[in-house]
Amino acid sequence: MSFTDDNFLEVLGLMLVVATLVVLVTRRLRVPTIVSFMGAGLAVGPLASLFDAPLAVEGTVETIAEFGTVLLLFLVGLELSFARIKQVGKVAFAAGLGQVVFTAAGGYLLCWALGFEPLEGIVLATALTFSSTVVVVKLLDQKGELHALYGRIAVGIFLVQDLVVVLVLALLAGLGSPEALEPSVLLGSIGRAFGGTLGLLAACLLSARFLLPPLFRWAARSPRTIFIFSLGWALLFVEVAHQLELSAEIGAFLAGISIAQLDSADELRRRVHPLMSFFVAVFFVSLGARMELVAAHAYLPEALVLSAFVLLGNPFIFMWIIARFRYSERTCFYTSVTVAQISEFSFVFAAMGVTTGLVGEHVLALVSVVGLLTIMASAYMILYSEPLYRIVRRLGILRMFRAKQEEDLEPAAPRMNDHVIIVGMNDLGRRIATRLCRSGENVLAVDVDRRKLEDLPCRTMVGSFEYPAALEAAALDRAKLLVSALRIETTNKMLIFQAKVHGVPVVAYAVDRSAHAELAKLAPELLIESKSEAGSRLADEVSRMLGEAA
Amino acid sequence: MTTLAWLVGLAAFASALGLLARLPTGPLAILAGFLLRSSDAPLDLTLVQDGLRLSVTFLVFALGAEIDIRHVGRHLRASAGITLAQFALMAGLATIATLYAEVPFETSAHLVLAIGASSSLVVLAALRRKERFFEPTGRLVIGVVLLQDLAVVLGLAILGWPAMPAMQAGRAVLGLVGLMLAAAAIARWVAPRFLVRKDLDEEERLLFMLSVLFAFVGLAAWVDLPLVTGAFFAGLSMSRFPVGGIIRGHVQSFSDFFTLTFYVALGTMIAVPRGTLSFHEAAFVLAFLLVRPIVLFPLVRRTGLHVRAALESVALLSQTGELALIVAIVGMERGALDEGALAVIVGAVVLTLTFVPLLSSDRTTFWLLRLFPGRRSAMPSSARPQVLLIGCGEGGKATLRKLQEQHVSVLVIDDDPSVVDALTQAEVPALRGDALDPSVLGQAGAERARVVISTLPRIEDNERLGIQLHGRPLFVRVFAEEHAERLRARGARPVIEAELAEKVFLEWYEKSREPQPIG
Repeated sequence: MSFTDDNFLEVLGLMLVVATLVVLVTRRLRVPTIVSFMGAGLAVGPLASLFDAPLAVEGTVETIAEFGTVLLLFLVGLELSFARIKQVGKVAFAAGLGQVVFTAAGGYLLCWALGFEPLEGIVLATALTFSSTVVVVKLLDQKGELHALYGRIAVGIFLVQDLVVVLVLALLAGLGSPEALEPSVLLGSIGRAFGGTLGLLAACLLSARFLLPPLFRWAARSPRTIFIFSLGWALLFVEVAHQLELSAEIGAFLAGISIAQLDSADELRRRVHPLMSFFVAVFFVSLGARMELVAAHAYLPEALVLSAFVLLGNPFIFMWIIARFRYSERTCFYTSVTVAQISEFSFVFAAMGVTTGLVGEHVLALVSVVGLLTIMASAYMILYSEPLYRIVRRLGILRMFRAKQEEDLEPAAPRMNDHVIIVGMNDLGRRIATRLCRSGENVLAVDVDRRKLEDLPCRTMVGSFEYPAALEAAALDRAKLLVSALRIETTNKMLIFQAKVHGVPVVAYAVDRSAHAELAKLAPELLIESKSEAGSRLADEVSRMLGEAA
Repeated sequence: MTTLAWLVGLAAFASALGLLARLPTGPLAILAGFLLRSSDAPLDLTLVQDGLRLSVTFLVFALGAEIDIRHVGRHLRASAGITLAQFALMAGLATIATLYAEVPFETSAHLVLAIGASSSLVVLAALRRKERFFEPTGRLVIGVVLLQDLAVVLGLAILGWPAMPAMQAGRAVLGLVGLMLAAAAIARWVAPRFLVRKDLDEEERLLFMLSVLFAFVGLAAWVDLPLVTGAFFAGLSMSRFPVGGIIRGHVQSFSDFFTLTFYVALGTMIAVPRGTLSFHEAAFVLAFLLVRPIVLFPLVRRTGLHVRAALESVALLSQTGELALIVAIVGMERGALDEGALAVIVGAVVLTLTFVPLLSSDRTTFWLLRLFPGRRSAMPSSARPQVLLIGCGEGGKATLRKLQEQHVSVLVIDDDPSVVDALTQAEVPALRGDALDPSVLGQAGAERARVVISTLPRIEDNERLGIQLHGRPLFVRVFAEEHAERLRARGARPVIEAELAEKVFLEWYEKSREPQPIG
């Protein structure tokens, strides 16, 4: 077996199996998943060499990894509405641009102090400037806080930075070819980047308003069509972004936003999530596998100093900028810790610097070590931001930023409790939902087809309970009763099982005697079996008619 | 990324077009891929090929994960019989093709294996759409397609062995046994421990599922078995309840994405067939497609299904689908099939998948029924019933029991011979046949019966019955109000199951709200 790109399935398999093993082994230590993924990435190379074959993370594996980041940003877009983005637009622009300027200047001075050449200083400072959208979004998704105020500010900041990345990449490429640094060419690049972004944004707004709503309404009866169409839509935006020389992330994010306003967005997110988890795992493992650490041992002290600058300096700058926008101390802190790492783009800058002959290989190795250290450390900082906040607050460090002490008020999502979940809005489901609703019960009606949920007097949810996230969204664990009116034995079986696991009483429809026998083994509170009942009713009505005639 | 955008974009387009035109998506996606290849679009062919392999892996995994043989119930033996007979036919045809049409045995064997497998995805979707999942026809057909999948995957592994040196073949045999044992062990101990009992989050569960899949695929590659064998047994190892249910959502997402991109990617691989060999292969495939329903029909009839149910089952089973394409790809990798053969198989898949909705439609079935005039048992001479009861399943039996208690004379029409035999033994007048056949109704004396009761499950059947009874009182059991509306328009008097089910629920609900006595 060889591990070249020709056998990409083996490469992919090895990456996933090792990643799973590392995740399962380290989960007890509460290691963030992306840290485990990157650790697995570091281990994959030596493991492949045991089979006497080099590991090549390129070609299809690289595309899969890139697709993972596209799906991740598409999901982020799906989480956000226009109104929510508007709320954080100003602070995102100010903090995103402000931090780029301060970190670049501070990073350059630090590199100068550490004895690096001016050009090396420029490349290193640029590499230190940008934070990783993918890392942070993945961690916020893991925490379930993408929609939180600080999560939205962070995402906004990263997207602003992504725009700056495009410009800086063009600039750095220009260092290799002087004509690209001519003012007219530079202005052209800047104009294209901003013009392209505005064009994509306009396409996003117009499609969300006019094109997508009727299209999704029409396809509502086929969740599969909506699913694959949405992925095609995301890739279309990515492709257009690519043609406009923008980042794929911006395209995917805007594609997500254009769909986020629709009823199907939640269900779509649940369907895309497993795919994203697969593809993005490949991204992080390959990121780890690509780290060039061997040449870095001679620069370990410098790497530690630069890492400390990113881990402490970036949050410091952010705290100061965001506090000026009158956000609470907690929001400022939570947002600030999200930027304490460098980005995967940093590796690209450094690699470009090496390719264009501006810097030596050691700079790439140094950036790799700083990347590894900061991504791993910031993962802990983001996941455990609450205890960290409490410690830092107790030490009195945060006082110097003079941030608002009152908490930011966010409209809390209505929390479902003690409700009745009814799955399957066929005639039976609709009857039960209407009756229970009228009798004062707090009812949640669920179906995959939004048309079946129309005109119901209760709360509704588009979704399939085959996705565990849908059970969570319906707050099954806090429900007082689950009723399945579905006529699908396999799904009913699963629903009874899940209800039992969550300790919720459950009622299900049994389509026939064999289904009844199978479902009864799981001991639901009630199995509705109407065939015999209907048979008796038929006999009664016929007897009555015959009697009347006689 | 541009290539991926093309593949996914065309898959989306095919899916939307299929929804619009009510056509199967698979053939449209293949056609889209074919047109893409014919155009000047810049494609990364390595990515397309790798994407195809990845799609095949997930697709076969999903097929394995679908197999829940317990659903088949008492029809398992009949399903196994039909599958075995079908494979015997395939082996016979492959031998004939080798001996008389000069098609190499390896080629003909791969060809028959490919076109011998019906599409599970199509069958399951069709049964769900027609709400026949739980009827005997549904259970039997599901049994056959699931066993076919298993047989094709095993057959594909076995077909690779003759070309291997003895040692390598021995290792492959041991490997296959090892994969089976590993699948059984994971299904029994490992998967329930990790996916049910251990407190893993969603991402960790997904990673576990994926690592089992890729570990099986790696093992299969290591022992020189087709990768699909590994993927299939990986799916099988996670198909048991409740594990199968827990991973269903994940599998569904992967299956939806990879099935459609698979079809498009495959479309880009197809070349227009040329030459005599392709002509032989095409003729052979066509012969098989024509012979198979003729052979299947008596086999299905032997299981006790009446003519209409047998016709519907055969129509559903007489197509080829995703597994055929997978066998073709593996056959090409082995050198057993060439591009021409692939095109022939793809053509067969496109053709059969396109015509399945037409072949399995009620209109076709009723047209075919005219070819079977003598399909009912003799009329009991003493029967002059007040009530004609059509269909004596669970609901029908309850009706019969109650009418008998009230001393109402009843004649039953049912298409299941075992039901009719049991009724006859119990001295209930019963007639075997299809109640939608006017001659059966005539023989049963429908025009003299004072009331006709139908417990037939399909709304279309009951509508047809309403037309045929020309205004005679017809009582019908339906599930939903919307169906009741349709039948009232035909003059029938519906009893709505949903209404009764609601009553059952509300009674339970009221009772459960009452304060329970202490102690």
